[in-house]
Amino acid sequence: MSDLLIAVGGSGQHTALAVARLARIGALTAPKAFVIDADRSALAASLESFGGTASAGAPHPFPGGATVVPPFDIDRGTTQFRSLFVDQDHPVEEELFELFYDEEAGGSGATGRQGLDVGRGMFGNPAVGSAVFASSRNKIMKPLFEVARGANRIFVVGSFLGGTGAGIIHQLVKLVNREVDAKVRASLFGSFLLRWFSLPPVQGLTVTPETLLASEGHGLQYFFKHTKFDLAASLLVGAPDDPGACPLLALRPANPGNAETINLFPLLAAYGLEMLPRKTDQQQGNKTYSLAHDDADPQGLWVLKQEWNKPENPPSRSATLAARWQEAILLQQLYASFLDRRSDFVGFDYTGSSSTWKGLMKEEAKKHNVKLDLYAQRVLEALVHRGRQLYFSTSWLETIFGDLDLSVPVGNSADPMTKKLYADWRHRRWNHPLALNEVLVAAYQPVNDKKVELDPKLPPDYAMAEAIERGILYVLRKS
Amino acid sequence: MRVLLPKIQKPAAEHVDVVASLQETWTPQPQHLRAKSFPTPFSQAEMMTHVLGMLKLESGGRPEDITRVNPDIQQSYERWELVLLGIALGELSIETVDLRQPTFDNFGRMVADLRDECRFVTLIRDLRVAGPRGTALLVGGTDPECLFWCSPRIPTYWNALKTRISGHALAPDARQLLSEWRTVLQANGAWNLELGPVWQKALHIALDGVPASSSTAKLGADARFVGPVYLEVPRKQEQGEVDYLALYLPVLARGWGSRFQDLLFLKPVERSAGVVTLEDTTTQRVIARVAKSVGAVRGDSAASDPTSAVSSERFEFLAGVGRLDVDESAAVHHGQLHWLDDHNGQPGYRSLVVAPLLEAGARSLRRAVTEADVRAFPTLFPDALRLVFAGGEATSADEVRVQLSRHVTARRSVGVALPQTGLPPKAWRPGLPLPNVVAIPSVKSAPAVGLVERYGPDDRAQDVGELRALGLAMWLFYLGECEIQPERGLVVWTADEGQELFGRVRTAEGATSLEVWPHGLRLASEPAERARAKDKRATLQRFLVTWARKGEGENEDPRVWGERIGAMAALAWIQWVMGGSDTELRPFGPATKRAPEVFLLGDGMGLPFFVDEYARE
Repeated sequence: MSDLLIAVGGSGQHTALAVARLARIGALTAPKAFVIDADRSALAASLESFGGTASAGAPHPFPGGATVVPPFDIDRGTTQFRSLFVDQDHPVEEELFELFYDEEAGGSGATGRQGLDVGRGMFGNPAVGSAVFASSRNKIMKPLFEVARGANRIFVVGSFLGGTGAGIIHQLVKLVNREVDAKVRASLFGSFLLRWFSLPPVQGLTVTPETLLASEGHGLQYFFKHTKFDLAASLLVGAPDDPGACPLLALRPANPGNAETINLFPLLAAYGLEMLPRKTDQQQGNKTYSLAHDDADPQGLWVLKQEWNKPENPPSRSATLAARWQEAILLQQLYASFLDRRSDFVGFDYTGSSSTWKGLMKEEAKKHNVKLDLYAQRVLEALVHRGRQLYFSTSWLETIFGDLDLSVPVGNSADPMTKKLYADWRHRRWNHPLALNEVLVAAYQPVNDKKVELDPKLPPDYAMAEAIERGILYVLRKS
Repeated sequence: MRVLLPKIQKPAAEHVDVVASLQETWTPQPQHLRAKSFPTPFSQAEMMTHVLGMLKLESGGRPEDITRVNPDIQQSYERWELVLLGIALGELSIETVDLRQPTFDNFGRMVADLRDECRFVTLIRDLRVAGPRGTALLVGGTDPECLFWCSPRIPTYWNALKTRISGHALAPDARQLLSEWRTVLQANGAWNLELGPVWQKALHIALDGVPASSSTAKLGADARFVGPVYLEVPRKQEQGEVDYLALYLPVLARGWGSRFQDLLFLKPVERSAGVVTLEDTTTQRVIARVAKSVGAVRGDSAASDPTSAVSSERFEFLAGVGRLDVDESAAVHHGQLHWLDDHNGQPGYRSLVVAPLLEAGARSLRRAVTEADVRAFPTLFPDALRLVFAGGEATSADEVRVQLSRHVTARRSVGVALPQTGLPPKAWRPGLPLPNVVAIPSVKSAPAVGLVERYGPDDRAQDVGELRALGLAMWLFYLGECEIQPERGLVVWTADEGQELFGRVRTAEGATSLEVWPHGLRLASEPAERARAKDKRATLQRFLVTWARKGEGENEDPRVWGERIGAMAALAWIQWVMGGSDTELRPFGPATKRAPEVFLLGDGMGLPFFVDEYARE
């Protein structure tokens, strides 16, 4: 059984992207993902394609990918909120509908106004989002509940701002809680963002900072009255009113066009996946947590020093996020070296290749009826693909934290090889031949020792690349 | 370190901090409150709950109208109060509907699925104003926390309603009625201003200045119950915890209690499963209908819906069980029989309606329900049940249910409820005030025979005189003008051509009943007979001496009961003769010790008939 991440709305997708990136570098165990949003945005495209890097050979960090599902029945042929419920055959239903929703949201039978087009978003109307979601419970959302029933742990992420996540999250938590058995219910967590960005000057007519804050305030009222009791534990995090001297905490404007907005807060929400289960291990169920920032640490090193995904990255001595970030940087640099020495890599022209990778690749190429040099070429391309995925993760971290010397937060627990290579890279002493002759060759040993095996689900060249990466990581982490 | 939350300035010792509760600074200021920001289809109800929660109990005066600072808010205390009074005055009607009915389609199903109790929503309509579809305008709905919430689409309607309500002549009566409704909740521990639901706080403010009422007479006599409405109430003994009850709301309807009593003269007939009709036996016309099971509720799919996750039993009253529909235009042409109880093997209202509704109440409340529960907490029960037990007068705990004579029921007064209970002789002792209704125990399980002296509220008191008529017969016997005919079970006035005064009647159940005949009733109200008795002042004094200490024995002794009935009847007669008080008549002369005749009222219970010592001489 795997974990399940349910991401709702724009903020939920931001958190899901954070989780995917962290999973890609080993800082989180990748959960299955179910993503709900009303509109198709650049953000959704980025999440689905993992920044354009996901492919059959370099699959999405989430098992099964991350398809964004709308919270309404698309078979109904309309995305008008009113038309999702009201039809001419049920005048009493129409009367009831108009008792619950005003004309702006629900349109009017008398004037012919249709109200909101939920296919374009909920426009700061959580009351609308909640109804749309609740009505799809037995239709388009049915697969979600089936996956939830088989999950090990469930994490619901999103924000109380806006309309989609703010409207759906509460009903979603309630319905998931109702659908799963007691064991899963005890591992149902929520990690929610409060205000974490500022609105750009133009964002449509109905959404203003006031409506966002009203949604947040009323959402929190509802959360503390109802929703938190359906969760084993929950995390709330958002930007403080005064960022002080810490640029990390400053509100940044939301990216226009619903593209990704990068700052610290989705990362902190993702930390909920790591932190919340540990809190219930201490039998403190139903509690709501937040995170605190030390003004004496303006670089936010405390986040990088936290232990993530422990003990899932053996044999590393360090479970810090900084250690995983270091490794991801080194992997990219190694792949860049392999590419820089393309002919050496493809022609196995490096010290020790004959007794290591050449034999294995030859065997694999023969098994798949491919010429050895072509096979090696494809493995190299797969490694480059994997490097792009890593870059999608590390560039995001760098945007958040800036150019940091990661040896500082990793400190004394650094793994020796990582420490050395990171210092080389950091001080521009990187040696391309060393990457091939020592690191790549050394990475064969764990493969040969069956500590790393080829993944039969992947295409053979990508399986080899994935094995190489795991072999390298083993080498980097070995004492 | 400081916590990473908007609008919070709080130091923290560790990077992971606990947020114990909702922070006040998160709640939008009044001018920024926005119903559609609540993440639920019940957002308008949530906003009304929030607005009522902002009310301050101690401020005094009317709360500030929030629509002045937030014109778009759609919910306000002022509108809440208008709806409250509108319903109590009958200006607004309420209708509880099952959202699982096909007419509500997928929107109804969605709402019903959200919360178990939300399957039944009470809609509030203004019957005087047409809505956009020609039906009565839908102005709001009910909710367990706030009681009422308002439609977000009719901003201009509220001023018109305000004009109607504020100028309504009966508004003070409606407030008094609501005050009594509150009294019932308070008496049953279902009221807590500080920790209870916000609707209680709002009601308290709405009734500011209305005297608290310990009586619930108006609720029994002049209120029609509508609903029910599913409401939060504070749980007894547990601060801050709530229960959910289906409560009926009162609508001012003068004389509705007695109108209901009229319905008990109609024969109850179960013509179709789950519905009992009340029919005029003369015209065969159906005057009223009572639904006694879920399956009987028109258009309801609750009972038969196998996909329903909600037990319909829990919400039976909400689904319409106990609903009483009366043809308002019909006059009740009753026969002689009062159909509360069975007659000649045919089931009465008690068997056909009361018993099933008590069972339904037990299922709804998940505990046994008795008649005493209905009396104690009438707002939990529909009119079809509560009005059987909730007369207009307060009754003592000692009183028992009585059967009324045909002469009492035939002379009933429109607008005044007939008495339902009387004081049994075991609960009365010499020296205590005389009861209005005496309950003479019957054999077996039949209700006691009621001897009604008077009934009704003070402003509409009805004089009957059955008790003093019995006293009159005993007085005439004392004078030697009366005789008992044991073979006919009659007491006759020999001085007046054998006119029958009272006698025994054998009922279908085999009970021996005492009944005062019309001639005796008439005599007991005639000024001439009063004057004749008053002229015999010395004899009347001896009559008083004879009865003054009768009935002082054991409370459980049937022989003593007979003496007490006689003593009550004799005193009732003397008080009437003396003009309502016996203070002018002092006991004087010898008391008669031995009764030559005893009129049997039941096993071991006899009414002694004394004869004046001087008359014997």
